[in-house]
Amino acid sequence: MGEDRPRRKGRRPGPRKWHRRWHRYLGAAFALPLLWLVVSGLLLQHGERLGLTEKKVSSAWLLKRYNQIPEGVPAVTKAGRFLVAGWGGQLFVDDKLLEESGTLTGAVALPAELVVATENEIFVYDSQGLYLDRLGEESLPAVPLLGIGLDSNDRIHLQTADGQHVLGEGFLDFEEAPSGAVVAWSTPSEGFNERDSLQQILVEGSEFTWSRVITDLHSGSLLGKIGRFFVDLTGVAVFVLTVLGIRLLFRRK
Amino acid sequence: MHHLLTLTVLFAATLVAHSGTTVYQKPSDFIRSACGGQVPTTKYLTLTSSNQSRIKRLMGHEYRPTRVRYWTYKGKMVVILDEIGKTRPITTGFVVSSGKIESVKMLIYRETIGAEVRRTTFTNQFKGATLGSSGKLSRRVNNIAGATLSTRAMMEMGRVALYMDQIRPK
Repeated sequence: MGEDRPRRKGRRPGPRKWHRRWHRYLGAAFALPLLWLVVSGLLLQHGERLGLTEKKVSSAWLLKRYNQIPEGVPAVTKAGRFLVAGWGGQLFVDDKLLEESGTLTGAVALPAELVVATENEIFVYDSQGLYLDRLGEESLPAVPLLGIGLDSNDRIHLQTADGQHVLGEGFLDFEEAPSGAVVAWSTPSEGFNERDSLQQILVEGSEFTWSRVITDLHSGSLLGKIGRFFVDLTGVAVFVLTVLGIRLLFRRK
Repeated sequence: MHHLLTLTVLFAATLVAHSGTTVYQKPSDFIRSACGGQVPTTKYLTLTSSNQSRIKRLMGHEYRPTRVRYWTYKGKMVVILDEIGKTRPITTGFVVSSGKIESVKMLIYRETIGAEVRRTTFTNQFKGATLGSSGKLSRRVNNIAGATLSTRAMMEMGRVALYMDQIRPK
C-alpha cells in the first residue's frame, strides 16, 4: 500500500499528487483564518490575566455590531424640564438611560411626575427619576398607544385605535375623553442633534467587555452568520489538512 | 469538491435565527380568567422602604416600580410581576388566595432561552405554596435544566407575590 504507479501520459494525476496539491492549496487558503483562531484562542486562554474580562469596550463601531447602539435617528420630545428620547427601543431621560424599554410614543410632565408612553406601556417617574408605576396593556384602554397629551387640567389623554381616553386619578382607570377637549399632544421629533450625546451615554454605560469580543472573534460570531460559517469551514479545512497530511506522510517512498 | 459543497450546505442549514418577545397570554386576559371574565377595579400598593427592605431579602434587590398594581376578586389577589431572568424581564401573573399561591402563569417571555418555565408541569409546583417566616416558599420547586435563571426569577416573583398579599389592605 502506498506505492505510486507509473503514470501514463494524458491520465489524471495520481492520488498522492492530488493529495499534495489539495494540502498545499487548503493550507495556503486557510493559513490566515487559522492564525486568527490561534491568536484569539491564546487571548481567551489568558483573558483574565490580560484584563480582558474587566476592560469595557468603548468603540462605537463595535457596540453597533452588538446592536448596543441603534441605527437611525432617535425620537426626542420635551416634557416639562425633561428631555425624553427613544432610540432603538431604548428610553432616555436627559442624560440617563432608563431600564425600561419600548418604542417612544410621547411624554408629558405633571407637577410631580414624568409620564413616558411607549407603544405598549406607560412608565411613571417622580421628579427625582424614581420609577413609580407601570401601566401595561391591562391598565390601558388599548394598545398600541398612538399619542399622549395633557389638557388644561393636567389630565392625561391617550390616543389609540379605540379612540381618545383620559386617565383617571392615580392612573387606575380611564374613561372616554369629552368631545372637544383641547389637548397638547406630545409629538416626538427626529433628534439629529441629540444622536451623538445619546450614543455617548450608551458607550459609557456599555457592559460589553473585550473578553466577549475576543470570544466572538474566536467563534466568528462578530461577523454574524458569515463569520460563524467561515470558522466552521476553517475547522473542516483543518480536519481535511490533517487527514491529507497523515496520508502524505505514510505514502512517502 | 462535492463533499465540501455538501458540508457547506449542512453548516449553512444549522445557522439558527434568534427569537424575540413571546406573549403567551395577554395580562388582561389572565386577569379576566382569574376574575370571572372581567377586569376588576385596579388597586395599587406603594412599597415603603421597609417593604422594599423585606423584598430585598426575598428577591435580592428592591422591586421596581415602587407602585404595584393588583386586582381582587372574591378574596383572591391577582398580581402581575416582572423580574429579569438573565437580561430581559419575565412577566408573570400570580393568583394568591388566603396566603397561598393558587395559580401561576408566565405571560410574556423576552429572553432567548429558558422559556420552559411556562410549562404547567413547572408552574404547578407553586400551587399551594405559602411564604415561610424565613422568606422561603413552603414548597420545593424543582429547577429546569437550561433555565436556571428563569426558574430563580419565577421563585423570586412567587415569594414577592405572597408577600404583597400579606401587606395589601384587606
